[in-house]
Amino acid sequence: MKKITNSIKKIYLGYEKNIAKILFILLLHFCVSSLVNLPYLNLINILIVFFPYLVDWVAFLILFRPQKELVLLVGICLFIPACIFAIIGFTAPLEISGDISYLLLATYIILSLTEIRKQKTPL
Amino acid sequence: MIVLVANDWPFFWKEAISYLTHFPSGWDSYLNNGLGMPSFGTLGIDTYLGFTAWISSLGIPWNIVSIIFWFIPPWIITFFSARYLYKALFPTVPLSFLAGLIYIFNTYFLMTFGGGQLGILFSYSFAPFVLARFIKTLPYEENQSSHLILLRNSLFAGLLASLQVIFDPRIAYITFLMVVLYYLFVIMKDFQMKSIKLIFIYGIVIPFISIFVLDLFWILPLIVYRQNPVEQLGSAYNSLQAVRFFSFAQFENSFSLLQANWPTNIFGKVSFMKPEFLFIPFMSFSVLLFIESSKLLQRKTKFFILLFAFLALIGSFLGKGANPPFGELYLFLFSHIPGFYMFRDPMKFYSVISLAYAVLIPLGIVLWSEFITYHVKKKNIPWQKILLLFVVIYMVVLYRPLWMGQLSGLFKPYELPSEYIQLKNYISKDPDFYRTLWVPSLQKFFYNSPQHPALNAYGLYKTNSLSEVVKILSDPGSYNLLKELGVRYIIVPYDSLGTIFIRDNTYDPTMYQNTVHSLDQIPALKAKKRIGKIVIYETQQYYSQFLIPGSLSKITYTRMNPTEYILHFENVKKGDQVVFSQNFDKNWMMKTNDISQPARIYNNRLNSFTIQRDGDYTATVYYQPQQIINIGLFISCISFILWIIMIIALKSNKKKT
Repeated sequence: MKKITNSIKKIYLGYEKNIAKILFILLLHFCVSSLVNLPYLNLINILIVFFPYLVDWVAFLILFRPQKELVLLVGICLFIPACIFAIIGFTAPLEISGDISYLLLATYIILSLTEIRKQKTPL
Repeated sequence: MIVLVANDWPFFWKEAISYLTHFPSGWDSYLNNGLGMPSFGTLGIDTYLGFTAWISSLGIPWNIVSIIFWFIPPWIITFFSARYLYKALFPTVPLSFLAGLIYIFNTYFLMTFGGGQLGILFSYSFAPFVLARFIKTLPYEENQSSHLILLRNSLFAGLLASLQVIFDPRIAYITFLMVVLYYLFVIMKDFQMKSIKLIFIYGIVIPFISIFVLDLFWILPLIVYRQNPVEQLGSAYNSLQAVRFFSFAQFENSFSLLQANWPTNIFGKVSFMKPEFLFIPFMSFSVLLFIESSKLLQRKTKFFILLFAFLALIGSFLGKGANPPFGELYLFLFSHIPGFYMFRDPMKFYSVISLAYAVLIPLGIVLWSEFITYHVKKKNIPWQKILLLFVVIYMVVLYRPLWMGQLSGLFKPYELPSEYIQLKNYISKDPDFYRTLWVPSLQKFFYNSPQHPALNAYGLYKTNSLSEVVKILSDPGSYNLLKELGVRYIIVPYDSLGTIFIRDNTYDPTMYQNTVHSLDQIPALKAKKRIGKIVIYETQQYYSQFLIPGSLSKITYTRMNPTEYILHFENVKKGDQVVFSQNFDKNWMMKTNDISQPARIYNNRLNSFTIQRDGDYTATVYYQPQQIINIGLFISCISFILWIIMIIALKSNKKKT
């Protein structure tokens, strides 16, 4: 019983610690989703369909600063469900997992580049 | 007789090969269009074709020449080029030969070869070599900092890039994009004025001056005559609708390096996603997991791994074209970025993906084996060899359509039908000039020569509908045009390859029968000859290449080359019009007694000139841009020799140092 209480407490503490960040991202999502439906700004929505989600992801990266190795691992591991979806011919989740995997891999490379800048090696 | 043909690899008859052996010319009088067209955009590849045709004219059969000079080189160059790049980037890491194999054995290379797009493949094969040489234009190794060495590397990079541009400017453009990305990585890594200066001088100015000077023979006429080869092709090639139509690959296809038409290679027939291909990106990107911990890799190689992983991501994003996600971005790039309008077919970007995966997969094997060896108790198991064997078996299974003979095009030899040999004999022996009109379109074994150019009915009447073509031919008024174009025979081909009379991607014999039946009913078509299933109709009247309409004056001509004709006039009258039955181009000129006059358009299609004086005399009809091409060719040849001398001289200087 104590174990359960402790784990719930732990989750709650984590929630309490991050609530401001989560709420900020949610608020940002609603704001950006509404903004891109306004006249003229809806051009962004036409050009980049997932724009609000892209903004969410950038905000998540800035606020939570996840380890880049973790981002990469998740990105690569997503190939496994993608493969299962491809075998059973389930196209929609295959595409979504592929898109997320792509985004995570791109994020990893961008984060790594900033580190490479700090290293002093010949060109 | 066994022959190899494909969509983009035409069949050349022995009798017609000698016509290709001319000096590089700015006017293609029959090869790609029976009515002629400017050939500035294809001058580079045409020059190589002319060279190989010349070798064949020495007595070597074209079948052998095409195998030695066209089919085999892309495979060999591709292998060694990718291996060279891998070794240049990761000199201490083994499995460079696998990079060469992966750069060859992928669906993009195999489908491009099967489709006969050999110009693209030549350019594709040079890409890693060019990229490696461009990387060497910067001192990424400590001992390369001498300016003379950098100058030599820069000249060499320019020389190779100019060769790549000659074969296919689009793949060369993609290679330059990769080079630009590399430079951006370098600048991002070490933002110093010194590195920017080096990039500017050795990476941009010198190589691009080299490309400009060495390729001047085809660049110069494009600049002087302000011609855009892509714009000339029309909206079917450069509109956004065309891009959307040609975006066959889905994101999962491009990410997995799966060519959308694999393995059938039927235009527009897109296959479902094959899960076994997902292992390719998995193996490639898993390299990133080990770049921090690996002891095999040097620190600077991490930079290159990230570069190639990024290239793979960029390539797979662009390779899917206008398809989601963010497909609109591709359309934006197509409309706004200079040079991007060449990529209505986004699958050209597969060359980036294949190059990136060719570098990353061998690294993946090495790093996975290092990881496994470190984490298992038994250290003496050769994990690298086991993984290599696994990857090779995987590739054998993956590309089984290749081994099982399921690929078409150049992978499948065809028997040359005897009917076409008879037809060729029937036409080629005739000394008179006339054209043949193929209804509805040309067959692979059609006979084509400057004396007897072949026209495609779909192309001539600007339609894709067989019923529309038959309807036009049923109209007696349409024969005036055919008469002016010099069409003597209308030919319904024997569709031996099953590529003309097709409905829902399958051959439909009723379409052939209906076409023949409809043409049989046309009174304007007098005689009829059958060679097997080939049906030949003869028109009632046809004009020669040069004529004076409504005049009894006699005109004969001698064809010097595709861009020059000598006309012999007899009893002509001042003010008469000479019609030259090639597509109108204002750069065609007629010179009489040192006075030149430009061509004027005749009947919205052909060229015409006005006779300047009465009597019997000779005149020259010539294509003016050829003079510019000749100047450019002279400069290009001299520069080529000069570049070779400079590279050798700088190399010997390096040895002395």
